[in-house]
Amino acid sequence: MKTTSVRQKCIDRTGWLFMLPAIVFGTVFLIVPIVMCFLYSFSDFYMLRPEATQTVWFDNYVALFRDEIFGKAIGNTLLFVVIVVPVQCALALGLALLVNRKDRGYGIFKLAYFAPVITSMTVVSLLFQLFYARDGGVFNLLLSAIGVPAQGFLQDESQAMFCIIFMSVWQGAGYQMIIFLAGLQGVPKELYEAADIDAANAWDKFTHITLPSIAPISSFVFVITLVGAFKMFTQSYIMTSGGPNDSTLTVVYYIFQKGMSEQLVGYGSAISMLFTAAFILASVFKNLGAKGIGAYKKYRASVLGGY
Amino acid sequence: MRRKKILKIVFYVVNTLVGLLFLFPLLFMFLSAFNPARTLPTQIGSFGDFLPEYLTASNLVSVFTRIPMLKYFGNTLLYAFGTVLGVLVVNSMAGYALAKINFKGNRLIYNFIVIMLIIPFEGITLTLYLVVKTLGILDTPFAVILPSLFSCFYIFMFRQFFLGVPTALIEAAEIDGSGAFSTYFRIVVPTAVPVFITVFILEFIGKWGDYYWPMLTLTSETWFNVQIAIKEFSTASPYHWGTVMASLAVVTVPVLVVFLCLQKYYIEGIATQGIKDM
Repeated sequence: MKTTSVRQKCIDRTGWLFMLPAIVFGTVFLIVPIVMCFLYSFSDFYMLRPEATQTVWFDNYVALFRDEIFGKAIGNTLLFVVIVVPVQCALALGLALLVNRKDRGYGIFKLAYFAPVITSMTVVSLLFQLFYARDGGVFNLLLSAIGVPAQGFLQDESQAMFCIIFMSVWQGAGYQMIIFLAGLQGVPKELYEAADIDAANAWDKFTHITLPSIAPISSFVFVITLVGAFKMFTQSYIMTSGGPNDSTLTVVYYIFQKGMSEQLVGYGSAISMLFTAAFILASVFKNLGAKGIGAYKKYRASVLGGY
Repeated sequence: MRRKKILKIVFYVVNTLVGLLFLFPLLFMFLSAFNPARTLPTQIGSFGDFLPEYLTASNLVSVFTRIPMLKYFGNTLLYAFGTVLGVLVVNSMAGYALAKINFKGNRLIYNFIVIMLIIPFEGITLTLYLVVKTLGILDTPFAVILPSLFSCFYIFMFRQFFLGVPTALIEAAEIDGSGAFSTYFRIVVPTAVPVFITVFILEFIGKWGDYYWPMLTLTSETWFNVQIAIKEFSTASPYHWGTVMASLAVVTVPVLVVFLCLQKYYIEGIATQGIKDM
């Protein structure tokens, strides 16, 4: 009995020693900032006058609910998410279907679709900023070739966000394509062979075999695209500085603007907390949803006797 | 059979067209980098101005002579390799402990890490900045390296991999009198080379293209990484069209080369366990 406990103690010590570097760095650079963010969100911490900090409880949060610019930032972020997520996922699936073949030379096509993903967002943003230019931009030259007057693009309040969306979809789709491709290659060949025997057409095969088979991986792709889209910052920061007239200001950009540019850490922390809370809530809902679907399937199976 | 052949050709044609459309912006960038035209971006009046009369390397030369681009390359490599080395050590050890060492608290830490996977980095940047400032490492390489070392995602990834390493291998080493650390570094790590390469390339490409956090913490020019450098370069003064494009091309090439060499591992990394952004 005693020997086991000595051995277990030794195992405990080894385990914690292996964990030690991670615990140190995780505490200093993840736990401490989260706790600080939570605490500062109830204060009026101003980086230029830290000694004057007072606890203001929920004042920051109340102020946020009345902050029209914050509302605008949420609206812009949602607009970005609502368009980018479905369009990018659909495009990625389309590309995956295009390159899901064993013929010679398909490595080059995959590389072509994936190249924008490896190109950094900074490079892509600077490049498209030149493309979208009112004078001498590629897009306006194309438009003038077909007789359409020059557009403002990034300088136009009603177009700027859509310009960023277009670029972001192009830049990111290759990433989701790779995941879809892994899913497509995992679909058992026998299913298609069986369908061929039943003389199913391509569309039937797609809707009845391909789509159901890649459903789990699709929900995964959906989630990572969603999460990535909510964090949009670099594009707006480089291409438009959040403008014109705050039309490309996102939530992350607003955290940066309030917390870093204006140094209002208390207020910025409150936005950060809401932003983080949204992620936590979303993941709770996702898990509940998955459980709910599982329970429903079980229920249905018990009622229908497995059918 | 005929139908199959037609389908094959159709796929080639569609892929070529879509592929060219997809690559157009990047091809344009690389072509313009060699364009000798001394035109400001705003002075371009027609498509003809984009087509180079001949090719020149002078734009590339001016990227390296007008700003200390080589220094920025060095900085970025320092940040990338510094981070990658630390990331591999810190997270692989933690992942190994969680997978193969049944210590008290194992389950608790594992659950904690899975929960922490949800926290978005962008949600803690403000206070992380204050932590870095308090530690006195603001505007030094440590400001970008140290906060990236701990990663719930990589710990999770290493744990998943180590779960598949046979416990008998570890026990055999221990019976031979090997200590826990030497077992880990001499027996376990060599079996895990693929996952180490995957993490290496994910983190290297990530750090090479990183902009937000370095931009917040590195304020003096001597510490700029390549991404901050090209942003400053292309917005600071009115450079010629070709020169700006050359600066973009120059920072894209190294990461393309790394990707081409290690793409198998990169694609496996995102295809099988690609949950980095969660």
